Amino acid sequence: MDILQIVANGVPAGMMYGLVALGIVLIHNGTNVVHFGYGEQITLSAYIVVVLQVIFHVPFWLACLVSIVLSALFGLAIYLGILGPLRRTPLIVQIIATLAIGLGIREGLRAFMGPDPWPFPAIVANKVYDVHGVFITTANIVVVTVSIAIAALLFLFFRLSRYGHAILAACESPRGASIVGISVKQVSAAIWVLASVLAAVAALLMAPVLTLSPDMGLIAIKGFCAAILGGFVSLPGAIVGGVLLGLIETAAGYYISTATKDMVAYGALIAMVIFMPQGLLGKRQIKKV
Amino acid sequence: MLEVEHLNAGYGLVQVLNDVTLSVPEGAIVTLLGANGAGKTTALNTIAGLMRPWSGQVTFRNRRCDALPAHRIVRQGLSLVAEQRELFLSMTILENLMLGAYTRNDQKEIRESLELVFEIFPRLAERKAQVARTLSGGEQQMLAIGRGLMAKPSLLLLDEPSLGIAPLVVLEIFDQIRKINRLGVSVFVVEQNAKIALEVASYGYVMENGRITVEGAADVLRSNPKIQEAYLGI
Repeated sequence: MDILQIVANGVPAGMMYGLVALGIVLIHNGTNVVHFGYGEQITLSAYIVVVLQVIFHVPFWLACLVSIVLSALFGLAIYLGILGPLRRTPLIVQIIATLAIGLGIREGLRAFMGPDPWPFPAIVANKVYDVHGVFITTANIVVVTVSIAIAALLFLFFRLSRYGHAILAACESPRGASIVGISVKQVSAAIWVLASVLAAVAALLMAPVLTLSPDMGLIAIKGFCAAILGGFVSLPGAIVGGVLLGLIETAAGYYISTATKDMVAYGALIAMVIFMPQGLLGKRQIKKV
Repeated sequence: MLEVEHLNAGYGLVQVLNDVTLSVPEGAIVTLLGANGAGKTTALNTIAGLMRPWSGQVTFRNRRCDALPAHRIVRQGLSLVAEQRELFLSMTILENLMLGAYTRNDQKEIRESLELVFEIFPRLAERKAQVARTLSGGEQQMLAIGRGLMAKPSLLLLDEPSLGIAPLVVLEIFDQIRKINRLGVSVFVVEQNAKIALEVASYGYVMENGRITVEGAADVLRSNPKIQEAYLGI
């Protein structure tokens, strides 16, 4: 029974990490940039829901919808206003820019919304089911269902649609993509929008479970771990890495103590980087010198 | 069909192309010869829109296209097969070819082009489900040309199709280029291998240090003593 309970708690936690990792891997594949402000984009989307609902009394579902749309526009704005113009600068400049975006959002939220946590409504009323001694919460069921649905949609989009193929092509060879008629700039913009929509969806799933404060975005560190475990270039790898991380953490919390779960998780990450640097589903990078 | 006039281009502060003027008539195979580093690839990339020229103009079918980005130039009917091939290596042959037709919408016509490509390169048809990364150099070159054809171009720009390929396969590929030309596609081919290029082309240009130094009909170039010495090894 212990094992089943660990799975029941670990998988949903891992799916959330996986969602964060998906956004990070998408942006990295498409633009080579590691987006250190991604967690804060998630936090911002959650705050938008709270602001709309608590201050403007917008119905919850509408607030969620508006938050997703605003997040998409925000992603587009980041690309058009900051990372697009910076695309010919050294990578480190672009990465620092993402860090600045994240810090700006976090401290902005602290200044305007205060450092204290805000209550975030659950998407569904929280209930606990007892399935033969294994406790499953509705929040976790929602997390798993939505994550699987998103992963499936993304998979279908990239595998079957023409535009999905074009994005994969532009990620693999930007020059090759331009000479067959794909606008690489449009693809980059699309990737920023897509990743930002994912950020908003992740926010809706996470904010009820985590604590909504300006520091909620620090969860992205776990997203980075999940991405690295999965190989950092593979979208399915992001999800698999997330679930693995969730399971490791939960198991460590159960068998050792909850205080050690981060330590064990990061230990697993370091072991992975040393012994299997290409990750679970990644490819070994061979650079010709 | 393609007119390049007084083209200057380069990278950063370094000028590579110096007052390049050349043209490709409709239906012809024209070659641009030159040693490594002469600026041939720069010329081709500038025509295809991967680089912006500093000055000068490129006209394709009587329309200026030197200010257009590469992805718009394909839509004008000008398709580049790049020196590095720039294939989508993790995708299959079929997926690469279908992406070649990205600018087109008519599924029936795309099917026809696909059949045509398979007819010209039967080896691609045999392996259409194979991932591009696992192909040999010659097969990758065929795939790159095939992908270029899928855009249904009226002019195909080929950058060193013989590069890094076994001599026998080079002959095969140039045969196929001739076949493509007979189907009504004009060809502008950049080559270091002057011998084979002058066999298939009807007209040639020689580039040295970014300038066109000699031009003429292919048979005239073949018998030019300077070219024999420098490029044909006679």
